Amino acid sequence: MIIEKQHIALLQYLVKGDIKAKYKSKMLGALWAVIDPLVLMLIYILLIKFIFQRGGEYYAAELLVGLVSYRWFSLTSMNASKVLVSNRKMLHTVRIPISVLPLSRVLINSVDFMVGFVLILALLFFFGLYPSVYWLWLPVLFALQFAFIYALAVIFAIIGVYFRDLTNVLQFGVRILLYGSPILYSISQIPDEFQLLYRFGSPLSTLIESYKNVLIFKTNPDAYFWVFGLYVIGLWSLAVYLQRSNKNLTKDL
Amino acid sequence: MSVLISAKDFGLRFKLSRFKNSRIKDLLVNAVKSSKRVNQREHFWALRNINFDLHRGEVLGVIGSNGSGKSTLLRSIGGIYQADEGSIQITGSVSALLSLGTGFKDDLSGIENLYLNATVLGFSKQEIDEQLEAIIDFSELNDFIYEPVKNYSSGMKARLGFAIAVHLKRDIMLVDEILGVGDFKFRQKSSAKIKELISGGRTVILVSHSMDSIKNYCTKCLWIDKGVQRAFGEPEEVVEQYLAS
Repeated sequence: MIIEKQHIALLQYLVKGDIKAKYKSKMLGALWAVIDPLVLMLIYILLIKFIFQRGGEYYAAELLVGLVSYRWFSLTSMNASKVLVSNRKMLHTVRIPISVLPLSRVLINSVDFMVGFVLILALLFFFGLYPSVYWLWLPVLFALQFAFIYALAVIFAIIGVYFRDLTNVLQFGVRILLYGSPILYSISQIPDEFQLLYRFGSPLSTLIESYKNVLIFKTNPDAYFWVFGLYVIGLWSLAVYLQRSNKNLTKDL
Repeated sequence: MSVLISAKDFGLRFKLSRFKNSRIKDLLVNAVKSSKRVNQREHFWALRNINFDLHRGEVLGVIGSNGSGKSTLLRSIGGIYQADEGSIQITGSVSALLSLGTGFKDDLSGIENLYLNATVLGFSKQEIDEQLEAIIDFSELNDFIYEPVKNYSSGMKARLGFAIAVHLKRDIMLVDEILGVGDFKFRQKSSAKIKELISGGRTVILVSHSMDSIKNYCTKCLWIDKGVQRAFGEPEEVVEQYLAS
């Protein structure tokens, strides 16, 4: 999981090359990282605020916070599930650690996340929500989110080699989690007695709620924060374990 | 002379793809135990009982019919596959497996791909910068180097790949059937380049179907047939045995 120094240059070029290839061929290029979540946000605002007449004062900001952090997860999961198979030729030519390729996907999609985050900041200022002491939580949240997505990417990448249908399955899984996470609604709408169950069932919920608390509601992450920590530790261990037990994975590619 | 590569009873097996339907089971088996007990019926040995020593400065030619395991052997030496039996020991220096145009991205220009490809092969930016001009010169791409690779002909792609591969050097070089790249003139140039590398005291392992190049370049020859080592020794003798078979 930890990338050695000799592979950092490789990682840089993989990420750079893919980012260039991803945006170069399109007219609007990197602007899509902005347009994508923005359009989604507008659609949901239209739907929830104007048609269903729901949602609070800062609904737009809440929505965007949820969508942007969800998107990093969903894009990476989908990409990672086929990253080893689609780079078969490279893996059969040079010896590189398995985790380099999923990590490159995490980093490529982190560009979209960062752009989206700038968008969030702009929206926060628009609502008059200026930086507070709670923003000190942000580095912690970023780090945890990164670890969560990275571990998941490695797990999906390895399983994707043996179970090629994973990408199809994930397509649904990711969609279910979009509605299963507190993006369109607020987590306070879940009854208290189901709260713990919900946090475990919807892994991103605690993270998204923490972002909302820190950025919008100016409080600390809530009492269920440990659930996300547990997820990170669990997934990270599983990723390390799968990587160790599948040293001969290139043969099965 | 010091031994650089030493193969001892090396064996490598693959799972037959018709038994690969229970792939999730594979994953679970991998995860639960180190899968020492394998179902022999579902596997075949791509390589078995391979034994040879290669010293610094020697050039090994690997011959055998199609599907006999030559490329698999190269990949094993490159560390891509791990031994299922015996071992291959590589002393000291890193080895780079030569394959043309690994990781080329069609949307990127030739020069961007040059950096990407060389980095994939394990070279640092300085090493690439030093050789940049020589590589572009050798590839004869001139201004096309700034064009996206998707506009290249297959010959141009191969030439760029070859130029990258031969200019960035490692102690052990693995060369897999790359001598027949490009048009006649380029082929002459590339064999001259390979010759130059070999006479420069580099340890080279060469897979080729051309018995002439084996006899010309190599100091040792290994003949593999259906994954089994048939002969190892002087190129002249081994090639003769191979042709007689």
